[in-house]
Amino acid sequence: MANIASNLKGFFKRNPLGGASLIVVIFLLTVGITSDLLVGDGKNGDITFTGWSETQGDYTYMSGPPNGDHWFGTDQTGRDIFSRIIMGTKRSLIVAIVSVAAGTSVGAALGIIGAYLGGKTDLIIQRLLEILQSFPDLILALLMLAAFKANLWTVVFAISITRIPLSGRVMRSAALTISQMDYVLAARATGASSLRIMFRHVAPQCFAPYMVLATAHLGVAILIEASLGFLGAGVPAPAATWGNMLALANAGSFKPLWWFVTFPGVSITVTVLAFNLLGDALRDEMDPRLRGRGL
Amino acid sequence: MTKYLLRRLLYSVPTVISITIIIFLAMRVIPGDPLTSFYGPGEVSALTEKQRANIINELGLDDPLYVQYFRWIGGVLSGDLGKSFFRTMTVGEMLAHRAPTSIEIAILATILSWIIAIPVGLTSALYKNSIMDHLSRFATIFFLAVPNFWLGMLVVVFSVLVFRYHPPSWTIQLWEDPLQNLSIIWRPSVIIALGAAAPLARMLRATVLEVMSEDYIRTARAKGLDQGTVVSRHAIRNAMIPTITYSGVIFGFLLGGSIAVESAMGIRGLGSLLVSAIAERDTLMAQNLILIYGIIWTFINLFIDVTYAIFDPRIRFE
Repeated sequence: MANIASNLKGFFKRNPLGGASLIVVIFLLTVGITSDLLVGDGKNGDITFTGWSETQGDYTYMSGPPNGDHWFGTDQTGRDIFSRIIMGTKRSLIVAIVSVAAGTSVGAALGIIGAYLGGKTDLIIQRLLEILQSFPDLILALLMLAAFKANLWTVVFAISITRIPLSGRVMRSAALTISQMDYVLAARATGASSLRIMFRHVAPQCFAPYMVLATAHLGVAILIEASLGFLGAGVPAPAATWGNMLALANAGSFKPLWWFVTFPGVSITVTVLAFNLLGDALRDEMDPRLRGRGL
Repeated sequence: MTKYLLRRLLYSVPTVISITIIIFLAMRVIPGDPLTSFYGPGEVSALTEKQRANIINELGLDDPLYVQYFRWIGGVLSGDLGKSFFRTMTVGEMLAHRAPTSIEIAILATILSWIIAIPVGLTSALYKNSIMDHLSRFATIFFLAVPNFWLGMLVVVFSVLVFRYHPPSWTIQLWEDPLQNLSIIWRPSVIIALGAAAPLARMLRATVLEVMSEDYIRTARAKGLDQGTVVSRHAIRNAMIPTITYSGVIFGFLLGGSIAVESAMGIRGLGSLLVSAIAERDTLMAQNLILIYGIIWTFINLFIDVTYAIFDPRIRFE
C-alpha cells in the first residue's frame, strides 16, 4: 500500500498534467458508478442529488435556461439536462471501457497468436485484420449497427470490432520481438505447449503496450459513441447519451439554445481530453525512453 | 519493388471480396420489413399477400442470397449501381450529385491541415519547451478531444446568431457557382482540418525531434552548417516522410470522418446520404456507399504500405 502511495506521489510530481487527468477520470468514474443514485425524481421516496429523472419532463419549465432547480437547464420536453448528462456519463463510460477492453484484448490475442505461430496462421490473421481495417471506424460501426438493432450492448459490440485491427497490429509487432527471446526458447525446450508459452510467457511481456493502447483507445471510443448517438445510430432514446442529446439540439432548428449544445459537448471534450492525457502520461511512465518527448 | 507492389495488389483482391460479402450480409440481416420503410406501416398492412409477393419479386428480394449477391456484384462491375429504393434517381446519379461536395471538403481540409500542422509541428519541435511549444501542444491535445460535429454545430449556431447566415438548403456545385459553393464548404473544411491537423502536428513534432538527435545531424553541425541549413536541408526532408504518408490516412479518415460534420452542418454530401440511406433501410444505396468507402480505404492502406516500402527497403523483403 505504501508502495502504491509513493508511486502515485512520484507520478504526480513527474507528470502534473497526467495527475490532474487521473483525478478527472476518477471523478467521472465516480459519477458514472453512482449515477443511478444521483439521478431520479424521488417518487419512490428515495432522496436523489438532482431531484429529476432522465426521462420525466418538468412541464412547468420547458426549454428553460439553467436555474437553481435545473442547473444545466431543461430540454424541449422539460427534461433536466444535468440529470441526462449524468446518465450519459454512465453510458459513455460503459461503452468506452467495455468495448476497448474487449476490442483491444481480442486484437492482442490475435496479434500474439499470429506472431508466435507465424506461417499460415499469421497470414490468415493478418488478412482478417486487414479486412476489418478496410472500413473507416465510424462506417464499420454504422454497418454493424445497421445489422443489429441498436442498444447499449450492440453499440459496445460495434465499437469493440473497430478497436481490433490496430491493437492486433501493434501487439503483433511487440510479440514478434518477445517470441525471439531466449527465455521463450528455454520454455519451449522444457516442453511447454504453444498455448502455454503464448499466454504464460509472451503475453505478460506485452502488458505495457497493451495498457498504453487501451487508454489511448478510450478517448477514440467515446468519440465514436458520441458520433453514433449524434447520427441516430447509438443507444436509442429515451435513454440519454451525450451524442443523442446533441442530435436533439440539432433537430430543433438552426438556432438551438446554448444550454442544449454546450453541456453535452463540453462533457465529451473534457472526458476525451482526460483519457488522452492520462494515456500519454501512462505511456511516459511505462516507457522511460519516451519521457520528456511529449509525443 | 515491382514484385512487392504486385504482391500487395494481389493481397487486396481477397480483401475487397471479403468486404463485399461483409457488407452484403450486414445489409441482409437488417431487422424489419423492407416494405414497411418503403410504404409506411399503414399501407404495408393494407397490402394483400399477392401484392406483397409481387413487390418482393420485383425488387428481387425473393431470390436466394447468392443470386442477389452476384447480381449486385455483376451490376457494380458493369457500372450499374442499381436504383434507390425510394428516390427516383439511380444510385449512380445520386453519387454524381452528392460526391463532389464531399470530395471537395476532403481535399480542401487535407490542404488546410498541412498549412496548419507543418508550421505548428516544426515550431513546436525546433523550439522545444518554449511557450510556443506548450501552446501548440495544448492546442493539438485539445483538438484531438473535441468532437468535430460539435464544433460544426457551434459554428452553425454562431453564424446564425452573429452573421444571420443560413446555409442554403440545396446543393450548389463548384462548376455552377464557385463562390457560392466555396461559401458552403469552407466552414466544414476548416473544422475537419483542425481535427486532422492535431495528430499531424503531433507526429511531425515527434519525428523532427527524433531526426534532430540522429548522428548525421550532429555531423552536419560539426561541418559548421548553421541551424537554418541543418533544419531545412537535413532534418525536414526525413521528417516529412511519415507526415506525407500520414496524410493518406487523414484523407481516408476525412471521407469517413466527415459524416457527422456533414449532418451537423446540413451539408448534402456522401456522409449525410449514407446516414439517411441506413436510416431509411435503402439497402442498395447504403451497401454501394459503404463499398465505395471500403474500396477507397483499402487503396489508401495499400498506398501507405507502398510508400513505406519505397522509403524503407527493409519492408520490401520482409
